[in-house]
Amino acid sequence: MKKIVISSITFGFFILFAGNTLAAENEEVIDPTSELYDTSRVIEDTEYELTEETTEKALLQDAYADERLSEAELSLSEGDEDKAEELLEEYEDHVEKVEEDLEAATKDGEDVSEVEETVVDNSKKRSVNLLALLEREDLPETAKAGITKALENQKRAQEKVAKKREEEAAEEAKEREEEVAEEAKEREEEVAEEAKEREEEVAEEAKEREEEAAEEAKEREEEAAEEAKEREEEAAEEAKERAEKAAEKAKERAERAAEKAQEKAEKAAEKAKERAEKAAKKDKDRDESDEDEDENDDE
Amino acid sequence: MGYRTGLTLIVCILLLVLGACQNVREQETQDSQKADGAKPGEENYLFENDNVRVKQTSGWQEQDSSSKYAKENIMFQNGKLKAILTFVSKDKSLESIKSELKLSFGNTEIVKENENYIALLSNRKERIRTDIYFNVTNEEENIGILIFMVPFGAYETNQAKIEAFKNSVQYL
Repeated sequence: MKKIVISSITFGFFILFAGNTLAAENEEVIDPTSELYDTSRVIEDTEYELTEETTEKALLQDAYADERLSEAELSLSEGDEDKAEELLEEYEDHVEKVEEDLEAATKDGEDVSEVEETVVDNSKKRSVNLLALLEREDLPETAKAGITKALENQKRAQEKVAKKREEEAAEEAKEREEEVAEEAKEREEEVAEEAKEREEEVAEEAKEREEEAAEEAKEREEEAAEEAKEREEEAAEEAKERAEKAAEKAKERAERAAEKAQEKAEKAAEKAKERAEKAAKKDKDRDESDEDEDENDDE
Repeated sequence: MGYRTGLTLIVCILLLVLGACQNVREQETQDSQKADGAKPGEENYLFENDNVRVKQTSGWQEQDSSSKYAKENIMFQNGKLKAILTFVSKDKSLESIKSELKLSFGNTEIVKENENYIALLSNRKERIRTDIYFNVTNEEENIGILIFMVPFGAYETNQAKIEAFKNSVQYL
């Protein structure tokens, strides 16, 4: 209800300013009576043929509809009612072609939402122009009928797009709900997964700590055994060293005793020699004195 | 006697064979001319009227159109490349003709312009490059307008085709 009221106000606002807008919206176009007009239409056809994307084709047809309307307005202002009527018919053809192209694009899977929005906006602007045209007193009856038909068609097209948008919005809302539910489920699963992972980590850590403690105890035992072994080896080494030192000292003492004994023997031999020499000298002296005595005796 | 008869027979056969070959060659030439739609001794044209002749050019074909607006506009096609040939009277100045033509292209930018040439590029998602050549001479009553249109992405690769077609157009 609220939407309808807002739309009505907006539409009324458009109609109110229709006269001013019409002048502003009228783009410069080739005069349909110009010698080059046919060429301009052939150029349009060629441009359309060379365009591949269906949404782009729809936009081109939308632009051509704008041109036909402007040209119809120009023809009317020049008093060429027949031409204006013809152009209004062609305007209708372009509007229909826009719809056809958009439907084809939708079937091809192209994203038409943005283009549709542009087309609907342009269509609303054109509705204002058409309404303004209807108010013209110089408008022939056939043209009036054409414009009325065009307005009805545009209204129908706009309603169709609005309905489509509503359906799309409902579809999107449904998709969002499903996404939210899916996300909630995913979060629950993630939380459960994380809790399980934490439990496993705790168990793993406890096991690791036990293994580390056992490892440390084993290492400590091995270190103690190693130290005891080292101490024994050191004690044995010291005992060996002490024994070797004692043997060394005993040997030194024996050598010193032998040296002293030798020195004593040498000294004894020296003394014996000296004594022998002294005894020999004494014997000699005694002999000499004996001789002397003998001589003396002789004498 | 037998030798002379044999020789005469061989000469006759040779003459018959040569005559047959000549006939085949003439027949082939005639068939070829029929296929091109040209009479012997005439040049073959892709299009021809009181204002212009377009010589046969490789890859180019005249494009038929059911559009009521195509009557005074001759259209040609070579793959994605399109050409439109038209004539306007000299009642309007070249500048006003140029201005009107620019209006035909709606949302476009002018890439290059000189006296007898305009290059345009459309400002749409699928950009179309348009080259327009004007043939203005004192002798002719009309101004010849040759328009080439091609998707912008294929413009460079179609340059040679554009040049070939331009050279094939003879304004009368």
